[in-house]
Amino acid sequence: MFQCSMSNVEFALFPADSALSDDRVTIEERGRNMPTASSSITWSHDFDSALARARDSKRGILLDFTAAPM
Amino acid sequence: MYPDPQVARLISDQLEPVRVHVRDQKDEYQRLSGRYNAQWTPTILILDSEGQERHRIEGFLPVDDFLAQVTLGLAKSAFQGRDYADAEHRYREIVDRFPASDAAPEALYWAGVSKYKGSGDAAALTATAEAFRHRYQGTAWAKKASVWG
Repeated sequence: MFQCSMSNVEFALFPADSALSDDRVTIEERGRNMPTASSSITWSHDFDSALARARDSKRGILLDFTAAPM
Repeated sequence: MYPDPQVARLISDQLEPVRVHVRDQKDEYQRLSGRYNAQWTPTILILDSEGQERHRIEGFLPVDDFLAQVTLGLAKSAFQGRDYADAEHRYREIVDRFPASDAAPEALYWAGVSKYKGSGDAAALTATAEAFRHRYQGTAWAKKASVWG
């Protein structure tokens, strides 16, 4: 994998035969969300529990379908 | 997008963030992508507190455009919940903070509608049509607002 950065966007180039060859994955997404020290979002991976919390708190949900490395 | 501190703050403060991975969570991805008809990544949905979709973002966006789109989703949720004051505030925030974003003309239109719905004063629509005479000419939203002028 080759990494470079430009402004506030990070790119990572993966080999064509990497695990990220799914046709649903955009080139941009291959490079986004690379872990950094500044990331402070605590993601849930349990939608039903998040929905229960949302109902209690009356907050909305941001649901991200992703293929980026986690 | 997500490592940006403004994005992280907006999402963490105002929303329940949920991430479903196409391959690492295959069963969950199939269940939820079917429910919400998500066929591409990234697909980012803003849902209300009952799980109803209020806004959809497909594809990568620069930070300012992404912030504008997430705020648009929050504004639409407030509008659907008939909290017109909150909706107007959020729509105007998009126009003020991200005037060059694709979301801004839509936000200007719905800010006027929100003010009208909250006040019953048709002057809010007239003022919106006037605002469109000075910006965002050529957009579909300016055309829609032109009937109010």
